[in-house]
Amino acid sequence: MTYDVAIIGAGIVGAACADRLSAEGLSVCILDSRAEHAPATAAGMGHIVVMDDSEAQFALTSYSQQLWNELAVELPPEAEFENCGTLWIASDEEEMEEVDRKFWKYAEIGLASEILDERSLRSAEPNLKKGLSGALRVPGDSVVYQPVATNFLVNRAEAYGASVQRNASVSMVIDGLVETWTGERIEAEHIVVAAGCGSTLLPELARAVRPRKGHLVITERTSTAVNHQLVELGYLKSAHGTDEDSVAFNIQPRKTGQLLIGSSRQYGSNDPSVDFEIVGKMMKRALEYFPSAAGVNATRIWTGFRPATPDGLPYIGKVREYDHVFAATGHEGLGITTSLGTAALIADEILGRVSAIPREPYSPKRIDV
Amino acid sequence: MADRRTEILVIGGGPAGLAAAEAASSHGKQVTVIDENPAFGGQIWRAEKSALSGKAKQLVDVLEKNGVEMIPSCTCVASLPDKRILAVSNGKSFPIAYDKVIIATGARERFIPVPGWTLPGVFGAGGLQALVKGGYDIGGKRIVVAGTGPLLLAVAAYLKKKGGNVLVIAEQASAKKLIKLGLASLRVPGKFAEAMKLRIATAGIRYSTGSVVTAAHGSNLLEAVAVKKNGRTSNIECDLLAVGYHLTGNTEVALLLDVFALEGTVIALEGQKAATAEDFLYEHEDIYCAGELAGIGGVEKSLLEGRRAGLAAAGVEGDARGFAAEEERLGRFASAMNRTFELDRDTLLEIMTDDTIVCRCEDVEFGKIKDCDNFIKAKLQTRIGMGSCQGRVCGSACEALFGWGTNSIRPPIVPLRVSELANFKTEKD
Repeated sequence: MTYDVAIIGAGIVGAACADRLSAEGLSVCILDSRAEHAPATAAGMGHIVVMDDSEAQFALTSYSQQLWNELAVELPPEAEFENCGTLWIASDEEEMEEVDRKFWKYAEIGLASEILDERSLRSAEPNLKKGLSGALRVPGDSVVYQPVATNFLVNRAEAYGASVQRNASVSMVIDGLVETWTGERIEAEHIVVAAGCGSTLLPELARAVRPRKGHLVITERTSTAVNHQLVELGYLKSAHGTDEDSVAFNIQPRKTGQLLIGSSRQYGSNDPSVDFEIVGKMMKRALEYFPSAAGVNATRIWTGFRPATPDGLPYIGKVREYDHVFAATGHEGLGITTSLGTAALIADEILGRVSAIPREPYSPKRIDV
Repeated sequence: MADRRTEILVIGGGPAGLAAAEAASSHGKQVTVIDENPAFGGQIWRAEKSALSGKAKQLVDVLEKNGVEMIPSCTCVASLPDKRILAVSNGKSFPIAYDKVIIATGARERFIPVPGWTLPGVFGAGGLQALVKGGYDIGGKRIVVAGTGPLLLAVAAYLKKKGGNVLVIAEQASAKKLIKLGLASLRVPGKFAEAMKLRIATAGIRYSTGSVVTAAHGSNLLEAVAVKKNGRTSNIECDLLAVGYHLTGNTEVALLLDVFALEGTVIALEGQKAATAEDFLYEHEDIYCAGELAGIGGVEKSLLEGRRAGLAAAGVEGDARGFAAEEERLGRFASAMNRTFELDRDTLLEIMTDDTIVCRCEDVEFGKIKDCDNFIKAKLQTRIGMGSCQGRVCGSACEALFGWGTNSIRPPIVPLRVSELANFKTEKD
């Protein structure tokens, strides 16, 4: 049979695309090279966050945040969707200016946020170290346990009639046809490549998508309270300023009482093993902001690879050299957040509709040839 | 400070590890042995109240004379690049660099959940024994010992000696299988005598073969256990249940060092040959495995394998040969034993109810995982195996119940304080 759409990759982006497209009544086939989990999705933090490094990032993340809030009511409790909000923490007056800038920027599009001074930050998060300047509180941000959310989307797509093929490693994509390494051929009118770092199976994307390694540490259940997802404002410099290895303070309260502590960014490594040097730096940074974590036991450390692009924006939309092949990748550290927005944009493009936000900034046609 | 460095690092100071250290150090090698317990000797030679027991002491004395560095209360928590491990002792972490490493981490009891097992009064068989050795008083307590394996007899004998009122030993294996094993033991000097000694020590205790505990009952405390034999279930009132389903190798360190393992046994990948008891040397990038994690087989097998691993790591090839006959005999017995105490999956599955907790760290019930296709899916969807014990209990239970491979491990393999991670530093030579 010929499907309307074949989606390569059953991580959260592929799952969201499958859910959205099959809900629209299209016949969908999802292929994934693995038996179960998509590694980048499973490794992530599950922070649903609005970011404003660029206008386009701001548009996609705030649109996606809305879509998550709509989905939240349907998610099972095991997805642990928690609208805990984000605190962007300023350690000095210079960073407080950034808090101020963000506040007005968010206000422009009607996105609620609140400026906390030193005292109100202390009462919001008593375990942070003393002497921080303040924070921006973004109450609309959330956290989610993304493996369950992803599974929910895949199952719902299946319920709409989508077919899911596991252990199907794709060797080749051309217009109208996907072929796997075992020689299976799947015909589809449209093909969406949502395979994270594996999206490089399209030569057009191979030039642009680079793996950026990250580490996360999870602790035992602890009574050390964290009420929001806490992120240092310096994160912005760490996440986007440089090609060098970097760490930033980022801590997430899990519903289980565990703490998820990040984050690191490293280019140039394909080795998934834990790098204790950078974990050491990460933990040192975390303790600078959150000294109460010192005595908490870390139970597991893992790594993952974010699909990063040179300009920090994902590739969403039709790929040059093809008529009906679309990319949905390159989300770097924002794949969980922007998965739902990405799926909406892909569906709009395939169905020839106007989208809620302009699609052009994410077009893979911007890749330098 | 430069990294600690040693020629031969032995991880685990039980019979295999101590024998390995003795063999290597007697040939002039610089050896370091670490063990996570405060005293050396492993589970088998675990002495009461943590003093060094007789046989362990003899070996340790030789090691001290040979200048072997002994680090007790020291755990390998991670593998580092350039042939180093990250070790933790008394809350402090430090790297140890090695030329060759011998993994002799031994085995632990396999625990299979039954409905009601989280009631106070239910213990792992070895766990209860260790508690009693540590001073826990069981005088006059009515105890049911259940599960499978030779350990049950040893535990029952010990509990009886300590004043426990052992009502019954419920052994899953059939009488027919056990008789076959008894005959096999005649071919290994010592094994039969050992078994007879245990039987005498447990004289007066009912040894019920082909019997399985199907539930633990009680409102706040254990009050009774249900035991099924020949299709009939009877309730036995008791205060304590000691349950253990044979042993499973402690493969965590081996997995960290990229040695492949399946169902609690390391497997030599070279030539895709499965590790059997006689094939205990995992010679791969200067890594050797010896003892129970290379196949459950008892203390003689561990001593022999440890000695061979020590000699091989020391490069004394000539000496390493000449064990063949002994090795084969012990290996054959080990296989016979492991076949006897193999778990019957259908029997186990029949006992499970949807609300039986399989993973205690994360409170995951059987009903939540039974429809998953593999351990990774179950982990990601339910967090089974993601608690502090990292699946040491539920992982082997899932292998037994579903046949799932649980061949993955994340550092640190024991919890490590965030401040210790933050202090991590290393200087490479």
